[in-house]
Amino acid sequence: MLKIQDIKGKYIANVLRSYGVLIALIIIIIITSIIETNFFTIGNFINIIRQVSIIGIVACGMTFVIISGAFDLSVGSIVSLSGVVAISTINNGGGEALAIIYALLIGVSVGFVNGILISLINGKMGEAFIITYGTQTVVAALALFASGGLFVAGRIKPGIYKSIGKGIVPIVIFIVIAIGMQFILTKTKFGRQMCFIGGNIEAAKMSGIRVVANRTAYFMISGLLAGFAGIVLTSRVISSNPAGGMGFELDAIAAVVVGGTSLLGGNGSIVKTVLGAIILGVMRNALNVLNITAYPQMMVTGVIIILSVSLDILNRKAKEKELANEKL
Amino acid sequence: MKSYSITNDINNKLVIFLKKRAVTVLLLAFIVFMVISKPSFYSWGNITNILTEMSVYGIVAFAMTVAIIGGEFDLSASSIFGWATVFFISITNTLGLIPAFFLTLISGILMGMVNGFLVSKVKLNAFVVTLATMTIIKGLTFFYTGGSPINTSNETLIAIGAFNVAGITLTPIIFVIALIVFILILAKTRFGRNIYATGGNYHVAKLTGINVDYYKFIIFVIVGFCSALAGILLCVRVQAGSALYGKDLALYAVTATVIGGTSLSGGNGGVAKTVIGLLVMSVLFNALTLLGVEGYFQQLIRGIVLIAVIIIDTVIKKKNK
Repeated sequence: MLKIQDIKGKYIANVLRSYGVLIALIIIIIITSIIETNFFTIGNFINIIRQVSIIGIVACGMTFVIISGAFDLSVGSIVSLSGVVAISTINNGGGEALAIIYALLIGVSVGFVNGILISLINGKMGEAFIITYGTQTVVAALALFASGGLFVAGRIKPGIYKSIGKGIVPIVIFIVIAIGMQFILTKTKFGRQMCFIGGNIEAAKMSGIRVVANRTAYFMISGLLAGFAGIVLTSRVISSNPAGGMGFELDAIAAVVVGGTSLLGGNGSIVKTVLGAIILGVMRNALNVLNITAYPQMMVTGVIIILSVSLDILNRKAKEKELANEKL
Repeated sequence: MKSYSITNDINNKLVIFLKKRAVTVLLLAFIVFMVISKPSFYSWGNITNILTEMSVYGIVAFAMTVAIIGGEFDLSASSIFGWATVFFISITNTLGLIPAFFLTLISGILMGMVNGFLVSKVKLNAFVVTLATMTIIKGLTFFYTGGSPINTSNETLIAIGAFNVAGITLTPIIFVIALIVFILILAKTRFGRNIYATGGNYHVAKLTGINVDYYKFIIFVIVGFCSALAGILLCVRVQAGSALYGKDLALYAVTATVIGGTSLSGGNGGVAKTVIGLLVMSVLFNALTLLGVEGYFQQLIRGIVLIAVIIIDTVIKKKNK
């Protein structure tokens, strides 16, 4: 016989586990709002989401790659290179449309190289790690090469390119991308195959999924979004920096992990990643508002990453236990 | 007919040798090419230079090799290294050289223990854990120094730094000692064999009664210790500490290990192989610098070499199977 208290306890535990990240976000917001009145304003929240949107776009692509059981360390340098090329195209009179096309093309091509190499050698996480680190090095070098290692101020006239990073436009773009990606993930064959490949690549192969083509596509999507993030970034700051996207890959992975997508592959969600990115952004902003300097902020970010993965592990263990109990 | 079969046999053996040691052969060919085209490459000064350059990071690469054999990964080595340089110099300035030496090593071990605990007991993914501790330790180091590098004018330290035998300083000597110790531990002790077993097949190792979690734990302690030791050795050379030192150390160590031929899937490989990987990287960069190749271009070549090696490695392994 189940007691009511048991059910209640189970229910609370379930809620905590499933919505732990969301609850943590709300707690951070409440505490900071009480201490600092400047925090809980619409202006500040728009500001936070705008800051989050660039990393968020990159993190959406990263989620696809992680669900399929790999990693993409090259996205940070793709952001840098696509930004450098876009700005220099505009400055040399190539036009905005061409700049955008070049930036996206760079992202897709690097993604293609990553994907085709990793999937052809049937690479697991370790190989993906090394190969995308290799392309990261190469692309970062190309960004330095293309810019001569210098900051370049963009001579951008008011137009499409300039408006991409203005006001709430990056936020709208981020939301549209996230909804589109979530749709692909949950409602299309392509998305379901992604989970299958991440869960068991050998079984996926046996059942006739074209693993090489699919895996290459995930990396191309990740590269494409990183190229797009480069456009948004340079449009916001109206200049390009050959190291502008440095470290974005780690921030993106952090957003995915904090959101609760498991690094083991096989499942995950874009909604979770968006939440993860927002949590990290809110936290950074809260620490800023509370006058905590950059260095302790780094430490807090690290601790939060560890706590959120621990939560994921606890979650999984509890689920396994429940399954075992049900079988009995 | 017999002579035919012998040559055939030799041919086969040669092919197998070339396949197994492709990287070594390429390295030797490259060295021969450099000796012929650039006489300055073959000077004692340049050779000791290459040795010293590779020794500091090399010690960490050995520890990383042990970690990879055990089936794990440690990104935090970079931050521990940077922390060690800063902490060692600041304690040298306050408490003196000997306390600084021991306290720095202890701090490295403690950081490794945190990583090891989170991976072996809490069962977290090593990549995420060490990514997080990397950030935490880097933040701590910046916080400790306020972001600026610190230096020392401790005379004993300067004297130790200047000590050399025919141009060979303390660092390569410790590098060789570390190499021998690691080879002996991995090949000749039960401890070493158990690390191979743990990395090769975690569940089988567990079923045969090996305390697998202990080995997963100790791997990170070894990396922490070696990173701190390497940090101290850098301080001996440059008498300064900075949070920015060792920024690319962890990935360098992983690269050297993989180029050497230790598989990322764990359970096989060895530190002697990693020496080849270290040589490839340091000889290549030394040569590129001597040939006057620009910085960006060097970085480009480094990336391409890395990708090429891992692909060749996997393709050859597949064929051998």
